[in-house]
Amino acid sequence: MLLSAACALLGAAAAGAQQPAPSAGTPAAASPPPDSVAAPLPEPRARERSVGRRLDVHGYLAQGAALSRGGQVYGIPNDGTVDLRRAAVLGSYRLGQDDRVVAQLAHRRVGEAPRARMLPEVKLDWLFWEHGFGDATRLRVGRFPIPYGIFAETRYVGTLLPFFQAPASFYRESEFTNEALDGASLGHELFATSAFPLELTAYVGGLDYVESLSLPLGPQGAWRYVTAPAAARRVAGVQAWLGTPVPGLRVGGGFAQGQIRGGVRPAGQRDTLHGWYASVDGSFERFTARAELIGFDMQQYRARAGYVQLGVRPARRLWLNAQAERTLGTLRGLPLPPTYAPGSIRLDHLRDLGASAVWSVPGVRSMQLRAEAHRSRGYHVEADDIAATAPARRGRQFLVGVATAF
Amino acid sequence: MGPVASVPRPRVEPRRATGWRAGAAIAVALLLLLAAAVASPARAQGGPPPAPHPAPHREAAPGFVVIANAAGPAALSRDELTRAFLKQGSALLAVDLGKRAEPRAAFSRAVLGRSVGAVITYWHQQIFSGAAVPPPEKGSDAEVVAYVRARANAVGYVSPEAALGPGVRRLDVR
Repeated sequence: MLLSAACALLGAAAAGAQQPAPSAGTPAAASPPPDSVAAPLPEPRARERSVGRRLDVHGYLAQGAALSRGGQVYGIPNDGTVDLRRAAVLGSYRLGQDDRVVAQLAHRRVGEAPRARMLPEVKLDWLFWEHGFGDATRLRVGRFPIPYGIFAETRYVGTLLPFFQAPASFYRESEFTNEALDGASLGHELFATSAFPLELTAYVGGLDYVESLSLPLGPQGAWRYVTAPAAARRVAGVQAWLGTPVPGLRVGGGFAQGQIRGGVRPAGQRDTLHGWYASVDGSFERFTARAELIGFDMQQYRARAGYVQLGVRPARRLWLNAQAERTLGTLRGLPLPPTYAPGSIRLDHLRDLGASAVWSVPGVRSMQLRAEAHRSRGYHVEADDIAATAPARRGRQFLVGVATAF
Repeated sequence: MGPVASVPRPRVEPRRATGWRAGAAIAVALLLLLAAAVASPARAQGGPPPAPHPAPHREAAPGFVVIANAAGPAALSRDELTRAFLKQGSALLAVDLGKRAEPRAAFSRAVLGRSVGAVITYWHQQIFSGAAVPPPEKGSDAEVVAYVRARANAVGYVSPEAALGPGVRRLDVR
């Protein structure tokens, strides 16, 4: 359906969409001359009507090689993998001054992670139509990235990330993929020229995704990493970002809810998710400081997670980053043995301390090399069961990678 | 699929999470760095598109001149130019020189208040979040002049020695 809609829109554009007049507030002298069928257009204007002049194509690639010590985490096995890759090609086709269609095709490999077998080689990541109402309001319809925290919309763009992946505690990459929504969103910016610009986005829709979680399902209650396809419907959420008088510093937050089915819950059972988050984002010339906290509640699982991330740039081409993150999960409402706390298990799901060095390659715009190391502790180990009586598994992960974008 | 419903009987006490000592230490460091940030704000990897920076107050810095179509505005502020070149709610059509062009580096620093690399990062954030695409890039002064001449609301910059010709004028930057 989305493809059909896009084809229809593209077809309409190819049939000769007119350049609309500038929006209200544009000085009259700055308005482009009206198009005329009878009069020949200046040559550059005519060229602008062609597909090539309306289409912008961009892309990115991030490739990693990594190995673990102490158990497989984030798809990285003990014997290593080079199957960590994020690539995408994005096309933005301008239908007019206020309308465009955006499509993104993506290819992602997540090493040996159990969810790898559920990911297609290439997927239609985004396909949405966007309409602007003046300068401050945008409507999106189709499949679009969920506005969610600092990194959600750019979570796979290696050149924009301090680490190979966005913080798993907040963005849940190892537990479920939730980066795109089929539906509609409406964004509006208030006080754009003030010291406190406010950006608001509301969205509704649904998505299919992959859900993974460590649960006490192995022999004698051993922790086992289970993965299953899930669906979220009737998703609705809002996000707000508030700028500050300090350039580069903003604070934000959001709330979302939805109906969940499938995944790791019993067959036929549905669940309702309520989630919230808060973010502080400081991005400066020589350093970064970010922190985000998220909470989500379902009938059988409740989690609180967050991270703190710092970066410094000691040299023009070098960034050094550090990150601490943690997830605390509570299983509840399950038929658990009496040795557990009544009706619930509180578990230290995953802790991670990471450090990375990101070096911009001289002479090559937008190419970065990276090396990073992590120390993890928890029950979020993908490949093998952890005995119920065992302490949380400790591990280390090492990664080198390259990222580029155009 | 019903893994949750078939939970066996583990023989352990409930696991208790421990404190956030490392996180608290880093949070303190974060606050210190944020305080320092107020003293030296600028641009970084990742993160949001930052607010326009106050640029050094100097008229048409050496290394570039701002141009506009003769039917367009006669003068623009740095803030208006920033909004045009970063596509932050401006009706003006901006056009850039290539990423390695010297006038672009001078323009970025003097008007946008950030390096070309920081501007590229800004655009990667915009592009790959699906928010916007950057202004077109032209390979030479002549191409920029031609682009501006053909569009009444276009604005660009070229090297000071570039020939402008009819239909294009040098813009006063307030």
